Amino acid sequence: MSLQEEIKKCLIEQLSLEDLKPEDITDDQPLFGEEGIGLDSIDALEIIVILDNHFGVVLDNPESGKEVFKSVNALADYIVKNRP
Amino acid sequence: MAGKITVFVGGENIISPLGWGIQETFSNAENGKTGLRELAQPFQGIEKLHAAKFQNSSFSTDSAIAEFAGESCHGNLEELHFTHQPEERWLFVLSTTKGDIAHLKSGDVMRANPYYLMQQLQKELPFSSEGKVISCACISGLSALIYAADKIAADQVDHALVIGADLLSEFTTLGFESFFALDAAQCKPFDRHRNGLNLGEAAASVVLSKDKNLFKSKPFQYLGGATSNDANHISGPSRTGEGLYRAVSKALKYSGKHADDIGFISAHGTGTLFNDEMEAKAFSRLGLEKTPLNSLKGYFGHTLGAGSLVELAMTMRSMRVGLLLKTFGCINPGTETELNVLKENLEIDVKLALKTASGFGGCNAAVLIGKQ
Amino acid sequence: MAIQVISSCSIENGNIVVNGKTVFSFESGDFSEFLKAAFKKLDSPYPKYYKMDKLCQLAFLGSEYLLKEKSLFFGDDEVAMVFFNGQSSLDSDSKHQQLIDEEAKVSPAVFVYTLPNIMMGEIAIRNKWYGENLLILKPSFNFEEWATEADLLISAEKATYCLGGWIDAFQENYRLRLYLVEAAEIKMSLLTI
Repeated sequence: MSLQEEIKKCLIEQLSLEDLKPEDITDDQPLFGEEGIGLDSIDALEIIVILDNHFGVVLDNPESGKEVFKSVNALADYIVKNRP
Repeated sequence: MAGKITVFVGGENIISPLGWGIQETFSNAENGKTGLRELAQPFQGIEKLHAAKFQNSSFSTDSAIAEFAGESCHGNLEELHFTHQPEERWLFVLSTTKGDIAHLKSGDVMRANPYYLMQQLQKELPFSSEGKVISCACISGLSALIYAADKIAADQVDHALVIGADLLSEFTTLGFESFFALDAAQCKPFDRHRNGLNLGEAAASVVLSKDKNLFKSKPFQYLGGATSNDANHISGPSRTGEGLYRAVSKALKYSGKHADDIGFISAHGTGTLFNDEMEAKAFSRLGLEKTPLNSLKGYFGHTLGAGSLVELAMTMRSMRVGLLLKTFGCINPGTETELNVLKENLEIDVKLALKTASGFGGCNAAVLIGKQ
Repeated sequence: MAIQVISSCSIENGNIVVNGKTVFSFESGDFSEFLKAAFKKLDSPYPKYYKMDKLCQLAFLGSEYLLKEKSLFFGDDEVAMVFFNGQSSLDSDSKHQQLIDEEAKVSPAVFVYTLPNIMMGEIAIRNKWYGENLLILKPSFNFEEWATEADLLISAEKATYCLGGWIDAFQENYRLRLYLVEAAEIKMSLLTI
């Protein structure tokens, strides 16, 4: 499984995105906002927990999440760069 | 018909890390002291925390909250010309978000249910009463007060003792931490550089009655109160302050008062970026941006279900002595919409005050009290 | 009593009953599966539902079933919510506590549901209701007592309608008794005019 697919699976499971399947989310699709998959501020906080629990990556400042959480690709980049 | 009976509120008391009893608490605040301090390793997994916590040595049983809440109620009763009349109908309301939540760690679900705490406190009262627990996040205190006042106004009860109490717990601390809502240092409500809230524990209580002669010191008139939901988000404050705006508007309507009549606002003011901005928007929409306003979270921290009653009790004290307290922690007020945030204590006679609160679940509450 | 029931909905033991008629039954499966199946049956997509804890899902589900039964129009300030609740949010509280005990990172999505009033927020968001909210914790339900509280708000003209009743959800035990009430009309007999 690619890192992108792993991220999608994690998001769907942990954020209870019941109506979505991994193939419904494209790698570049915005996660937040109107064109996104409808995530909100609690989801953003939850992604911080997912990064830590599943990928061992710590994000201390939720402000920097804005860039990191833009898309599945952005998340994957951040994980690759910061993985222990 | 509801609303015909005038409701009085008085006998206010606070037991907090800032002081044991309202007198000590208010005088410490007046002298610029705060109950907040840096705690080293308050809970497992938390190295340090800026919060308001009682000294552990203050309590002798396995329920600190039952002790300090019981003490607060005891103080109320001393402020009353209380004679036990069996025909008088008393209501006892506990306002809390999490009650004795510390017991959940050992899996004691029964004691972690706030109803158990209410029963414990009720047993100690010198009158028989109908006991209720109101739990509506951070507006619990005002929600309980409004409920009790409506019951008296509708002639369903004669008097009510309303107590708010919450603990500083590992449970809530870790939760707020996961929301990045905590300021590692002293909180700075309404300040330009505000960066989150501090948590605290306390109990505060007031008595409501249709009989003003019940009180040893002159009570205030409860003028009206309302709650309103933002219908927007379960944790994020409304960007437009809609719910708070509506709660205050309704409280004014029920009181037959206008925004201009309000001499002072005791705001919620947690010190988080979005909450304080939301309040500023709502007060500005109400035409209250020039009205003197404070947040007392810098003295007590956010004491959750106790908070709005702590702040109401302090407001009552302020009105009695003619001194409004500064917003401890706020150096440079800096909400986008400007407010008249008190940076220094202010000697002024306030005839009518507004107390507000907002919380998770999108809930908002507003209460107006007046000097007779 | 100065109020009358417009609609009611009860949910327990895998059955949803609206105004006395069973509208959904779920024979097998646990509480979570029931909550999911009953919502899917409504066929009105609302992704947020799946993020809610069981207490909120139960309240939300009841309100959706009850409100779809009759097409009523409410002003945005007209509906108050008053709930009596047995075990608070102890189901989610226990989940949050478990994460703490396991020394795991706690979940904001769990923590936000450790307050029982959140269910009223969820229903308010769904219906755009800005009205009054009241939540009273108590060990058991009595309709007359609840009706007194609903009447208190309606008589004080703080609400035109009141939605609420009894809700309890802890582990696999759950029960909802939901009512929508309004002020009783004063029925004047023609003979007295």
